[in-house]
Amino acid sequence: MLLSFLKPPTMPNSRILTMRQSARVFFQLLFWIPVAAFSLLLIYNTLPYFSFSKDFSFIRERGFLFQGNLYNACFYIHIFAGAVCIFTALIQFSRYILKKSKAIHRISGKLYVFVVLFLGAPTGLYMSFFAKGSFWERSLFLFMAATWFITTLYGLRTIHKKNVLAHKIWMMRSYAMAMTAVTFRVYHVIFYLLDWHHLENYELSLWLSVVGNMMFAEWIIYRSGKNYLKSFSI
Amino acid sequence: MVSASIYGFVDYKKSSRDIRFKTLYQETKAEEPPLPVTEKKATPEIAAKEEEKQILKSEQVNNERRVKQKRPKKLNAKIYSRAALESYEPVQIEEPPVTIEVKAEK
Repeated sequence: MLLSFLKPPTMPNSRILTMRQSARVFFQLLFWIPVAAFSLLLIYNTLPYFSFSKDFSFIRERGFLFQGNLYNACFYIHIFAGAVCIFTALIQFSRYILKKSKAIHRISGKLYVFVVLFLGAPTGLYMSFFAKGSFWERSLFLFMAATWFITTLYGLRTIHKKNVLAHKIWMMRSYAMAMTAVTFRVYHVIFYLLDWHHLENYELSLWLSVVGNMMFAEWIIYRSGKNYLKSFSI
Repeated sequence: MVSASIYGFVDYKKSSRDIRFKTLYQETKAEEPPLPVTEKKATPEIAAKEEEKQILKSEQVNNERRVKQKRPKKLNAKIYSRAALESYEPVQIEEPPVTIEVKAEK
């Protein structure tokens, strides 16, 4: 009885709840501010390509491929789709927007799904056959395109069945695939500053971005799943 | 997706035969000029001095090269890309000379 005050309270008081909530907001900002900044920087860097000039090191390096009309078309469709889906996805995870206006979430969600299923993933799949790197890097690009397509398709199917929880999970996986473009560039710059040789840097950044993003998404899903199950406990 | 994979595979098979595709992502390596080679003199003292001089010279050349090669890396928005971050020079492929066989008329 005397030591009962040492036991943790069964219900946290309002001060602890406020502290937890503010910590959660702080960590969310710590995550979303760099994500938004790097995503917008990617879109900003994509815009000059729409001058259709060939004077970019990415295009010069692949001069032979850009002689083909199909590859040329796929490239421009892919970068347009990538920019649109990264921008639309940024507002999809906002609880504030979802609460205030579901219409914004629905419209940008439909745009994201359309762009991924009909433009981004198929063109990415075509281009993956000609990607830089060895057989394994090309296979990884193929896997990325297929996974991006399948996860987005499942996200769409689950929301049509009114299964919101599954929809959230599948869209998280889809977004993780879309964000490989962003995380790849971050790793690429870091390894470049660390004086890594270009091809090694390219391959390592690619594997890290894909595997890292997938693992991060699965960790978030596992954590939110645990919290969801906890809510049922007595 | 199915048609993209079929088109991709067919085009890949076509272009994989092309030498330009095989050498597409190969990087050019800057060839370093060979160090000057000197003939050894008969007397050992003069030879030792000459060797020292040569070593000093080669060290100087190496240091200059290092200074030239190491450029300061600047962080800017342009390097945030999937392209090669070093200045890229495509590999020049020398095409074999075309031989035309002229049949001698009989």
